[in-house]
Amino acid sequence: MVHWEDVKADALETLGEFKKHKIGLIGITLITFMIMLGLLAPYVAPGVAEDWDKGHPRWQSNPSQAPPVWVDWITRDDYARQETLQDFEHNETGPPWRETHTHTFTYDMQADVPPKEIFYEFSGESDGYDNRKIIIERPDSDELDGKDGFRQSEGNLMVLDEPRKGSEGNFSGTITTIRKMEIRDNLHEDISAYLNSQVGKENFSDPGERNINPVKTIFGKANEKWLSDPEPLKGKYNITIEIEADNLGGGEGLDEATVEIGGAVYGIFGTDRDRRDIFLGWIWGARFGLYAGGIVALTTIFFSTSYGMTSAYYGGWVDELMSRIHEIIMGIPTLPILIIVLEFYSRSINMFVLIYALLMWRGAARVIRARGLQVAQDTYIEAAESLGSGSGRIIFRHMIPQILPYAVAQAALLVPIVIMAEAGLHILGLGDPSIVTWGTILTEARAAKATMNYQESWFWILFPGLGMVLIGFGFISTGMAVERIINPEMQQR
Amino acid sequence: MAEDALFRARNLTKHFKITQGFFQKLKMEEKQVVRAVDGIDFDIQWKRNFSVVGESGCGKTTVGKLIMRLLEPTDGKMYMKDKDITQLSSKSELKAYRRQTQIIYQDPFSSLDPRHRVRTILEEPLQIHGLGDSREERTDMVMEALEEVRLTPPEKFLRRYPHMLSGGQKQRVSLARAMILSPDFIVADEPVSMLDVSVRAEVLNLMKDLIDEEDVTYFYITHDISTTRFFTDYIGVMYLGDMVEKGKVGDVLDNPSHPYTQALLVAVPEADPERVRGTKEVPISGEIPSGTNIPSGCRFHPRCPHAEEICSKKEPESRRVEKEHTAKCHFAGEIDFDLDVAK
Repeated sequence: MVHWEDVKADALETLGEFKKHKIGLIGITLITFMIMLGLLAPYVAPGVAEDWDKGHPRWQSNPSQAPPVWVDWITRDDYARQETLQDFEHNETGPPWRETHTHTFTYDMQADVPPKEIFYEFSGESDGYDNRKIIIERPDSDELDGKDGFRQSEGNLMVLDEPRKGSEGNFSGTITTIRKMEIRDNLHEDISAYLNSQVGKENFSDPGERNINPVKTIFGKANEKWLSDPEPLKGKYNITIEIEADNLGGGEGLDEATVEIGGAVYGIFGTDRDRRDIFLGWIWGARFGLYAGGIVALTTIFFSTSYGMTSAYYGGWVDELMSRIHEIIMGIPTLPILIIVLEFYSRSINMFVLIYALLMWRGAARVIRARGLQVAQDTYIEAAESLGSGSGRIIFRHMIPQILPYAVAQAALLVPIVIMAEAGLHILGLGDPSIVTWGTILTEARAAKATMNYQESWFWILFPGLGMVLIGFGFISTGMAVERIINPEMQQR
Repeated sequence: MAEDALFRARNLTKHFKITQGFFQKLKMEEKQVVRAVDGIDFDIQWKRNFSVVGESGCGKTTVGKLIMRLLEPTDGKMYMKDKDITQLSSKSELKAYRRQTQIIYQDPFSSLDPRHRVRTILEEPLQIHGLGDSREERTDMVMEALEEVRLTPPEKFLRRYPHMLSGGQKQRVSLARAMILSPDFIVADEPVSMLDVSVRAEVLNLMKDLIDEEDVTYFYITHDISTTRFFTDYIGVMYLGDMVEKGKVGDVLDNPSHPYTQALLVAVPEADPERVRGTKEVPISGEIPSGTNIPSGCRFHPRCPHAEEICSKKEPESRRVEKEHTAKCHFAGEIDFDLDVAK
C-alpha cells in the first residue's frame, strides 16, 4: 500500500532536491511555462488554429512582416506603433440628393520608423451611386503647394483614389469594407517630376522604377531619397475619407469610420508576410507540439515499461518469444508508414500521434528489458521474495522504481524528437492543414524565402525554431535532474 | 535424531542444469548437471546455532537458499518443527513459513533496495504479513526494531536511504528487517564477511545477544572457521556439495576427523603473538574440482594426503567418531592425523 503521507513527503523532498539542481530547475520552469502557454492558448488566442489561413479577415488590419514590439525598446530608433484612429471631423456639403461627406482623421507621426500600413474601414448605406476618395495631407503640404509636378487642381494634397466597388445600379443596403491602400498610378510621376525640378535628373533614381512602397512615400521626406530610401517626415497627417453619394444613411453619413495605422512593430513575436501574429500561432504551436510529444512520451513510458518488464521478469521462453516479436516490430520503418498513412488516409495530428505512439516505444523497450534483467538479479529482489512478497509487490515496489527513470529519460528525449518530426512533415506537405504548429509557421517562412531576407523577417524563423530548442533543452535537462533525484546514489557528488 | 529439532534436512539435494545453446540442443548433447548440494542431512536444535563452513563453491549458500525455499530442491525433504516444508500446498503456507524463517545476506550494499528509506524497508515485512493496524503502530514497531539492533536514536535513521549508511549500519538494518517479524530461524549467509574487520565483532556480538533476546536460532554460513566457535554450537563442514563432517563445534575443531576439516583448520591464521609460525604448509593441494565432475568414491580423494586405493572406489559412509560427531571418511578415527596443526 502506498501512503499519501509518504507520497507527499517524497514529493516535497523531490521538489526540495530540484532546487539543488539548477539546470533541472531551469528545465522544469521552461516546461511548466510552455505547458501553461499551451493550456492558455484557447483563452489568449481563441480560434487562431482555425483562422490561420492566408487572407483571413482576422489578420487584415495587421502590418505585414513587422518586427516584434520590443525591438522598439532595445533599439535607439523610435518605432511607430499600431494605432486605431476613431476621432474624426465630419463635414457635409452639396444638396441632400448628392451629398459629399468628408471624415478627417488626424495622425501625429513622431516615430523614426514610420508606420508600415494605413487601413481604413467605413461602412454605410446609400441609394445608388457613390464615389470615394482618400486624401492625405502631409505636414509639408504647404511647401509642396504649387511646385512643379504637383497638380494644382488638388491643391497641395496627395490624393489617393480608391477604385470604386459595387457602384453601378442600386447601392442601398450594401456595406462596403475597403481595406487595402493603393497608390494612384501617376503619383509616382508627380513625385518624380517634382524631384527632377528640385535636385536635377542626374541625382534621382530611375523614374520608371515602379517598385516603390506607397506608405513609405507618404511618410517620407520629399528629397532625393524619397522614392528609394525615404527619411521619416515627422508631424501631423490629416487623413480624409471623402464620399460622394445619394442619400447616405445615418446621422453622420457613415455607420462606421475608423482608420488603423499599421505599426512598424507589432505583437510579441512580430507578424508574417500574411499579417498573421506569429506569437498567437506560436502559442498554438506549443500547445499542439506538447500535446503530440506528451502523448507519445506517456504511451512510450507505458508500453516500453510493460513490454520490457514482462519480458525481463518472466524470462525463459516468454522472454525469448517477446524478444523475437520485438525484433520483428523493430523492423517496421517509421517514415514510409507515416508518409503512406498521412498521404492516403488522414493528415490529422491525431493520426500522426497515433502512429508515433504505436512505434516509438520500441527502442525504449529494449533498454527497459536490459535494465530489468539486471535489476532482477539484485539481492534486494531476492530479499523481498524471502520476506514473502508476491510478484506484484516485487515488480511495482522494487523493480519499476529502478526502471522508471530510464523510461522517463527515454520518453523525455522523445518529446523534442516528435515535435521536430511533426515540423518535418509540414515541410513535406504532410502536416495537418487545419491547425497551426511551429512546423506550419516555419514551412510558410521557408516558402516565403524568409531565410534569404532574414534581416527583414528574422523573427518569422527565429521564434518557432527557438520554441523547439527550448522544449528540447527543457525536457533533456529535466530528464537529467529527475534521474539524479530518483537515483539517490547519483546524489553523492 | 533429536526429538525437539527445530529444523531437519534429509537427503537434501540440488542439481543445476547447465543452460545449453541452441546448437547444443540440436546435437542432443547430454545436459550437464552441477551437483551443488548432493544429499545432505542435518538437524538443528532450538537455540543451538548451526554453522556451515567450506571453501567457495562448496554449496553452502545453495543450502541457505534451499532452506529459504528460494530454490526448489531436486530431491530430499526439509522439516520445520516437523512440518514438511518441501510440500507446502499453498502460497499462504509458504508465506507463513517465510514469516518464521528469515535470511541475512552477505552483501549489505545490494540487499537493501537503494530507492527505499530505512523506514520503508523495515515497514515492508510488516505490510506483507499484515502486522500493525496503522501507520503509527508500524512506525513504532520499526523504531523498536532499530533500537534492538542498536541503531539509536531510531528517529535519526528512519528517513535515511541505504547509501547514507555505513556497511555495519546497513547490515544492522538487514538484521532488523529479518528480526522485525520475530522469526524462529535465521539463515545468516556470511553476514560479516564484507564488513570491515573493526565492525565484524560488533555485528556478531549483536547477533549473539539477539539469540536470547529474541529466541532465535541461526543457520550460520561462513568460510571463516574462527568465528564459528564463538558463535555456534554445532558445525557442519561442506566439501563439494556434501557435508563431510559434522558435530559439536568443540568436538569437530579439537578433534577433526576428516582430512579436509584438518586442512581448513591449518589454514586459519592465529592471532597469538607467542605462537608466530609464519606461513603454514597446508597439507592439501590443488583446486576444488568442478561440481559437474565429482570424483568417484570419496569426493575428496584427489586432494587427500592420506588417500588409499579404497578411497577412489567406494564412497565412504558416515562414521561416528564421538557422540554427535560424525565424519565421512573411511579412516575417520583410525588415522593418526597430525593433530599438532589443529591445536
